[in-house]
Amino acid sequence: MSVLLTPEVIILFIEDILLFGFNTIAFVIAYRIYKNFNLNSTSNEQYTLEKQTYLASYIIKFSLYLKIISFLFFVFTLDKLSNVIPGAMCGVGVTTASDYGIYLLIFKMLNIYLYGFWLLINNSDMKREDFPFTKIKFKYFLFIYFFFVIELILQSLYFFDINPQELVSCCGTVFNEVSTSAVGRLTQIPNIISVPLFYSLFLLLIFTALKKTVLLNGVLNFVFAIISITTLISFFGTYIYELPTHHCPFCILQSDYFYVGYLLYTLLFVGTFFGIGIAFLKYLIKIPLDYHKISIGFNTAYVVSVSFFPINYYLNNGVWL
Amino acid sequence: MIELKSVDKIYSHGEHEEIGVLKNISFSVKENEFSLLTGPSGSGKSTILSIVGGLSKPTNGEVIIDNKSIAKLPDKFSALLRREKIGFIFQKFNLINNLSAIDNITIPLIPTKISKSEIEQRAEKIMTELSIFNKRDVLVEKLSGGEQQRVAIARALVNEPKIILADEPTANLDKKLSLDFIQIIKQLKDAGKTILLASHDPLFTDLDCINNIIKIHLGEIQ
Amino acid sequence: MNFKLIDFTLKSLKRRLTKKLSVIFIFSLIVFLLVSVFSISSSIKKELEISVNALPEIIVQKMSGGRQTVIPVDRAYEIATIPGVQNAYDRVWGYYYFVNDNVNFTVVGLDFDLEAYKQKYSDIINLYAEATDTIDAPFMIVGSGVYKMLEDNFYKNFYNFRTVTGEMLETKIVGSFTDVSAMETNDVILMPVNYVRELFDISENYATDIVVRIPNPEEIEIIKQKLNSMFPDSRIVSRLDIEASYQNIFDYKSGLFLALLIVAFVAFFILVYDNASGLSIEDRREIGILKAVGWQVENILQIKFIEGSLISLFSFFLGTGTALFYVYILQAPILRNLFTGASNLKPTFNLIPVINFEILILIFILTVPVYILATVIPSWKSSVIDADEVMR
Ligand SMILES: Nc1ncnc2c1ncn2[C@@H]1O[C@H](COP(=O)(O)OP(=O)(O)OP(=O)(O)O)[C@@H](O)[C@H]1O
Ligand SMILES: [Mg+2]
Repeated sequence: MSVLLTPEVIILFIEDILLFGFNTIAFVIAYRIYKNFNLNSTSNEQYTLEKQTYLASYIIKFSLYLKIISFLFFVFTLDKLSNVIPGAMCGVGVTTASDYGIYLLIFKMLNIYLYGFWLLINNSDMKREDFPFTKIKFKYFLFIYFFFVIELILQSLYFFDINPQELVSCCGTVFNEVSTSAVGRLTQIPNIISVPLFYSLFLLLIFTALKKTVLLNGVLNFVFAIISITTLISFFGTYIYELPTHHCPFCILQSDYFYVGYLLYTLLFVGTFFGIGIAFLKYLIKIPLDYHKISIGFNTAYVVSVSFFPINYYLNNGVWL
Repeated sequence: MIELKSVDKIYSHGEHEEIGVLKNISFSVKENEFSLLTGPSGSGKSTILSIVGGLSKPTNGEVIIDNKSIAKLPDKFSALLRREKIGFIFQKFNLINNLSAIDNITIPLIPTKISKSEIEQRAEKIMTELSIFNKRDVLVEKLSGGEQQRVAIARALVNEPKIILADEPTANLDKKLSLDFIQIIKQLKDAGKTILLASHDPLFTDLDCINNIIKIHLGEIQ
Repeated sequence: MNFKLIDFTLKSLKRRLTKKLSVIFIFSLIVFLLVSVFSISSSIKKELEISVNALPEIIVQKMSGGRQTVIPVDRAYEIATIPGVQNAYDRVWGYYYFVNDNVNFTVVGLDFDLEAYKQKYSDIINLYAEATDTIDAPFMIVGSGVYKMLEDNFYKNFYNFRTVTGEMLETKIVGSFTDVSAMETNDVILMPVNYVRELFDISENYATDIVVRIPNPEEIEIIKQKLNSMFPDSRIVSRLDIEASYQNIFDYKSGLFLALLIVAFVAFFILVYDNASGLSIEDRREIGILKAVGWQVENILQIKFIEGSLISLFSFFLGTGTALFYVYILQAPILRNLFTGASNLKPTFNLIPVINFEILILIFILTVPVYILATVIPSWKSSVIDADEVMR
């Protein structure tokens, strides 16, 4: 088990332990604020709490930035570990090297969304003189904290569970044969259904965003994020690799494909983040935020860039894969 | 422009020790008026100024600045208010020693969106008016007391405030410089500023440009 | 980001630089150590990759009483007949102790009329063929490291070897050569084999060792076993054995280093925290003034963040820059002994400059965010100083 303690993994842990410490401080402050915050009070306690909100906010903001960096670093580490783990050609193999891998990945992404939403609330809160959302944003943080702890536990379980001697299956099999995992099964939906679904969802997204039916738009963004990833694996990716049997969400992150994956995932993340964020905030703090333009912009950019590959292939070769 | 309604200020240290510094202070200063706060040392003049400027919060009562209640305004917004509407001249000048005159004067506008060149233009204009332009790049610790105070005044004016608050502005100046200062403050009044000045310097008491005098004793208005 | 804030932070940092020097120093030192260690090890690994690939598949050494001794030449013919063996060469070589600089040169004997057992040496022989053909006296072609050392000791055209029997062997320096993988050839002297025999007093029928060329790597292990039983008095070393022993040294040493570093990091964190917390009266007053003239808590946090970023970036680049200079220009004195000292690597070689961005990113992610994190609480503490302090 110890073989996986490469410098990269150690760095990931050092960073996470530090973040854990600071987030725990933020958690304690958040709890106090949630219990006792009252802007109308002139007591010393309230005064101290007001000061502490800044510390908690600073920590949470910093955590988000660090989490984004360390997520990229994590993906990079997975890719690198594929050299160590037999059978792994890219991050997929490393992820499946332990049962916890896929959940860890999901939680890491989820938490970036959650921390990001916190920042959206914070921005609206700090603009108003009566700090109307201070209590609710810190209540929400209490909840985020538990997700963060789960992520940490999963990460420890994951890295200690990997056995570098054991052969793993990689993208070649995970997404091709009859797969038992939920994600694997989603990619089994035939392209003839999933690709039209992807495009019609996108049209619906634009429509609901223009109509400002916020909640529906948020839900659609969430579904869109999932369908985007599955169609990327089952359809669009094959045109990036120009190989009908290569189904992989990780290999596009490698230099062989000019790191195009980083671009695609960033576009998709920003687009859906704001889409879901608007709905989430409307539900949580009943504040309509106008980030629709950003959401539409990035989602459109994603759809255009991802569509480029099959179209380009068809124009050059006159056939579909 | 400035209005205080039954303001109390009580400092509490720990559970039991409470020090009442201000009791039931009410007064108002109208736009373009010049009010003088006087009273012996320790009577609470500086405390009133810091409450008016939003540097500290009253324990009870209402404080209204330019039609806006600030008694319970969070620090974030009272800082904004100071940045936009108030120029502060402190007793001890409160300059940052290792910075040049111009760098001291531009400080209030650094966090704003105003461009660096415009800020410097503004500062230079004020420095010219206060005839300290030739000291533009001199470190403030190398300046004389009178020059230091002009830098402090320039800093208070750079954000083009409606309100000027001054705490014992002549305490560290000799007679001549104090008279110079009074000339400057007169000009400010003529320029339309609202002024609240705390001082027990007798030079101020019989100035004709003063609209009203507020006498404080042991935290109360007499 | 507001450039005026950055500008202000720079000015304010300039004033308080002396207070930050200790942190900058320690930070740079940690980065320096990390970058040096990782660079040296990746450089040596690179070096090894090159030289291990050039190593013969198997070396046969005759042992006597646990020490290596000369081996009969006819064993080479015997070995060459083993199926799977392409060729077996007897080598005559040895270390010559150069008193002036307290180093060992590797003197390799070659037959200048035949193909050498190593492509590299054949190339060199061909390069100097014209010059060497006509010489009848002892001569040599030397590695660049040797050349420099001899030159420094005023041996420009010839050098006087002292043979094992105590006689002088005046040898002409014909030329020098360099190589990408300096570790392998830097300290090498190529001489006609008969003079090397004279120098080390090795008779015609004996050689230092025998190298075996095996084209198919699958067969190395089998042939090794065969040789073991053929020559029970000999030690048979395969390329894989050498590779593994090198690898172990590095992995063990970088692991040890990493452990030390974690300890250093805890100390670093505390130091930064402490340094950032120690607000002088002057600092407090300054922050009070800023707040009194309309700065918000966020603005103070921003300048503290900028300050942390500037200090950590500066220290990072300082540490990286000096480390790369130290490793590749100065050739890492002292530290490299840590890596090579205990092993049987040769003492003189150049570290090949391989700037490994992966390592730099790794160290960046390890140090810069950690530094800024350590300043979070102290920054916050100073940002919430009461503004009315300036009135007192
Ligand atoms: N933080 C504090 N805690 C307790 N008491 C305080 C505090 N700050 C000020 N005081 C008290 O409040 C009273 C009023 O102080 P203030 O500085 O307002 O007086 P002042 O009229 O400006 O005096 P001076 O003319 O000497 O400047 C003083 O008795 C002082 O000791
Ligand atoms: Mg006072």
